[in-house]
Amino acid sequence: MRRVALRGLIDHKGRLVATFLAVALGVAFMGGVLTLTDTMNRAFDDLFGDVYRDTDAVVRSSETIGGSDAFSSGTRAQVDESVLAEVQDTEGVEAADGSIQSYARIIDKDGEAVGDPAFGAPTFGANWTDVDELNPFEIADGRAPEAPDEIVIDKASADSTGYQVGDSVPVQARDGVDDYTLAGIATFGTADSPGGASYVLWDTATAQRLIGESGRFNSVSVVADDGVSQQQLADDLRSSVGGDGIEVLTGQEITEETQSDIAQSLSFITSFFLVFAAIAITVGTFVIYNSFSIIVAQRTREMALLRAIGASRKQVRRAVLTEAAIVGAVGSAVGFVLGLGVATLLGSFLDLPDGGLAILPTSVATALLTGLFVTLASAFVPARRASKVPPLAAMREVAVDDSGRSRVRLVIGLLVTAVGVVGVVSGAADSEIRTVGLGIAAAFVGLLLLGPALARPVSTVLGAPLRLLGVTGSLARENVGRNPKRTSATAQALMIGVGIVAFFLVINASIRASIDKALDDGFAGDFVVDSGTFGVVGLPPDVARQIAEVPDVASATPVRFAPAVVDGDESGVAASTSDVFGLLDLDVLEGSDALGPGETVISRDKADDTGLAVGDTVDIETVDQLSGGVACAHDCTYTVAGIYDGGAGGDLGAWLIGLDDYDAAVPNATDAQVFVQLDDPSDIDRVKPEIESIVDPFVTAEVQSVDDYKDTISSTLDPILILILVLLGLSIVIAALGIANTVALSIIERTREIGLLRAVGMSRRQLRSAIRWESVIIAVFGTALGLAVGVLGGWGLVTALGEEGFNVFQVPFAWLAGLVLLAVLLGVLAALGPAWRASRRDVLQAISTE
Amino acid sequence: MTSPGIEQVLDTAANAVGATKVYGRGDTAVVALDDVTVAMPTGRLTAVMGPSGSGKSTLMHCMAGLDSLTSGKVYVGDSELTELSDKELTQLRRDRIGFVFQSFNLVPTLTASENITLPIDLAGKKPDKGWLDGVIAATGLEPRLGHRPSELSGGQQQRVAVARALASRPAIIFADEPTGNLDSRSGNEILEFMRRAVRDLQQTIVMVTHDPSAAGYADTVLFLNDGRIVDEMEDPTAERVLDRLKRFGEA
Repeated sequence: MRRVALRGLIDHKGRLVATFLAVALGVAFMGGVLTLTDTMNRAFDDLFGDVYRDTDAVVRSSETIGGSDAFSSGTRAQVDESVLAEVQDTEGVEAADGSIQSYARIIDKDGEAVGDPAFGAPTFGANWTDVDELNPFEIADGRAPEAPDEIVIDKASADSTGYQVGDSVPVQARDGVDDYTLAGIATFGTADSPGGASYVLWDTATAQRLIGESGRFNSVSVVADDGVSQQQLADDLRSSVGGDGIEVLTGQEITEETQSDIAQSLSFITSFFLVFAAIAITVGTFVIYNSFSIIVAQRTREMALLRAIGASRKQVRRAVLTEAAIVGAVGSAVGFVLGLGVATLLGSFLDLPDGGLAILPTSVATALLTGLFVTLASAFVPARRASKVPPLAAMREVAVDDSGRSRVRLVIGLLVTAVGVVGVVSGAADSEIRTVGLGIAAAFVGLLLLGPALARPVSTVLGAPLRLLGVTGSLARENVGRNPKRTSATAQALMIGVGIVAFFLVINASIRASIDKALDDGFAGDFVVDSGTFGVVGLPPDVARQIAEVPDVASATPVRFAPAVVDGDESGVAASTSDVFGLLDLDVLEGSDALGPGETVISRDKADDTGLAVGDTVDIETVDQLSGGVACAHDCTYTVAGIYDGGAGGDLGAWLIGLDDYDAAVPNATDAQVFVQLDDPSDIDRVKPEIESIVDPFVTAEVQSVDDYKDTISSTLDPILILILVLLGLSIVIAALGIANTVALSIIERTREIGLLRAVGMSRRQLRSAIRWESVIIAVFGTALGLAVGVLGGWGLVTALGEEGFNVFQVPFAWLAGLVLLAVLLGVLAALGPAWRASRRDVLQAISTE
Repeated sequence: MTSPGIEQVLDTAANAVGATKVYGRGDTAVVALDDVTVAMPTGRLTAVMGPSGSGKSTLMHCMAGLDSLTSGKVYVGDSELTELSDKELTQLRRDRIGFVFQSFNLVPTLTASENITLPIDLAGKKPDKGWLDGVIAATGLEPRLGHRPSELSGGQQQRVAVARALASRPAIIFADEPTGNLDSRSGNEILEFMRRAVRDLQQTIVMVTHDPSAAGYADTVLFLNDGRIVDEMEDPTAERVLDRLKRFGEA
């Protein structure tokens, strides 16, 4: 029997090309992602292993500020300089130095800030330590910074900006931009920069002044005397400086902590890509299933003959599965090799450190086994069907494909689809995202079940315009409806990719429309001046004051944010003036909006949650960034003076206080944003340059009108959308392969018919046209199903999230129409090969084919 | 024999001049047609007979433009087939030639009437309504025209196939064992139908068969053996054809 399987494989290898490609592409994607992650992990492990090689212990605060949510790990509190002295006095310490690290940004020769910490690697400022063992940087050119006006920057930044030793380099730190002399250029271990992050290095005192706090460090790193173990050193340090908010880690511990932090942040990227790999593989299963189904159907007589001469069902099934195993194994292996190319390609986008790809056995095994398993699982049902071919079928003329007419399947399909739609609708109504998600899944499964029943009616409708083409068109239409199960499985492969694309397009359009509406309805001002650093480097309060003095400016209203603990719970506090309510269309429901001393205005959601009412008091403790301790005004006690409701643009958070109270509680207060209103909005273009000149020294700050802001949102969303579309592209390519495959295999079945058509006068062109339209109908059918699921899902999610700011549901008709056009194009492309081959066949041979 | 340059005889629908067809080459070469010159007269039902491997199917395929000659010429009307491109051959098949095959004559996805008008539709032409109605009436299948081939009996399917061949009023119809897969009653229906088409509608039909009773319906029978035309019989009967065939065995 094995010989039968092998011969079958060899004789029909052309028919398995699509299966092979589907497996290979899916595995390539998956293997590529896994290898890329392994490579990045290894690179960072090596890097930090190297960096901390000579660090035997780290002393730092045990307190962290904020970071209660999943997206930020919080900031660790600083330690006092005195700790360093105590550490240095501890026995077994050979050397120790404090380190400072915070936000700073190099400004390039064009006046643009280097890097983009919002979307790329962070941009850091730090102190240069003179203890060689503790300094991860190595001077590549020039020397260490020795004076307050000298800096060293990382080699990657130097290379990208073209700064050379001796140049004057502007750097943005907490208090704004200043020029420094570039004393040296340094590598980070062997790398040009640590994972793409940019670094500006000052001497310690200058770093403390510019980006830290005088007399304080982020942490203290320690080198042990010879013969003193890391554990011994850590124990000694714990007894000398430990306790009281200070913790001590061994060098090994800090290395592992850093490595695991990196691995964790990389795992998000991995998961993101793996989701798309999984989608591609799922689409592949449809293609594989279809290939084997068709091959088995076409070899019915062969299977029957085998059974007639004594093969058992099990043997027939095994013969088919053996074929699948071989194709799966070869496809997976080739796919993994392709995946290494994918990894290299993706790696180049992600600015991967050098050192080649890390090919780990676990990743190889995972990718290969997934490919093999998916192929076998997809071929299982066709294999079972093959085993059920009765020996008598050998005598029959042609196997009749009466599949897809199961009434049970139709009824279940209708029920599941209905349940899905109801789920989406009710989930949307109740704002239950989980219900919406389950609903979409059910609708999806329902459509999978309904596919064969839909194939004929839908193809009749979609093919209706083809009537204009005469008999060619009606042949195409009829052929699509011929094998409903085959047609629907082929179309459904495309439905998956298109559905997800449509879903994202709807979400994207709705986000934009919602933001536009929020800005139009919810912002009464004319400009927003944004610090552009997500609050790391705010704008000094003086900026708002200067803007307010510009002629024709009616008001300049600053907003500040800080982490806070309110009645014991970690939260955040915002501060502004009472103008902000009008500017942001915030509705004060009860009480006063004066934001006077000791007053707080709280959001309605918070009032509903906590039951607080006007006149109640709350305890708002702002966090001292220096020590992690508590700082506050008015003994931290505030009276709830009012309750407000967010406008179209959302709200400013739960707790809103006045600027004076904020300044008293938060040292060095800066503004995250300044809202500017003009006397006459038509002066926007005239006034904008004046405001820009005030903001100019703050490199990262941006002055944006409402229209500018909309553009910014687009430029933020576009790359994400494009990335998602590109990643889904592979799924769509695999689905298109499936269409080509189905069409090609169906044509083999219809060889005699095609010969007949040619004999009675169908031209090659007409034959190609009929095949092309058949392919196009399948593609459009799949796209239509995908659009239905995608738009339904998008609607459900947008509606369910209505209260989270998604207040506009928008269908991007132009984009969706583009998808349909793309489907037509894919259909045409998929049919190219099969149509050409069919039209070249010798007429006489075709007619006499059995 | 006849020189290749000779003009075709004008009262013939199709003729072959020095037609030779060799399959394979060298030691394995098989001569299927050996310098055959023959004319198919207009308005007659000609049967081509011969034992298996005598070249009768090859002759028909070559005269119908489905297969090409190794040497020699074939004319359908005034067109010389060996000079035509694939596109011109397709057009010729569509407009001037009708086909009836032994089996699998109809496109399963089209109804009987769609199958009948298929060549006309492929040509993008309007059918000649009067002619078409006459052809359809002659099939006696009017009530079943909306049915698909799978819903028709074998005999009915063949009648639809003959009607399709007639629909575009071709210069000549080639029928390859049209009764080969039918029981004798259905076979006789088809043969009667073809004879009516020749007598009443002035069509020209060439039929390859090895059934003497089928050949008995023809006006002329051509006998082929070893790739040559060895005999010709006018106004045959089944008995005479059978007698002639027996002599092949003796020869």
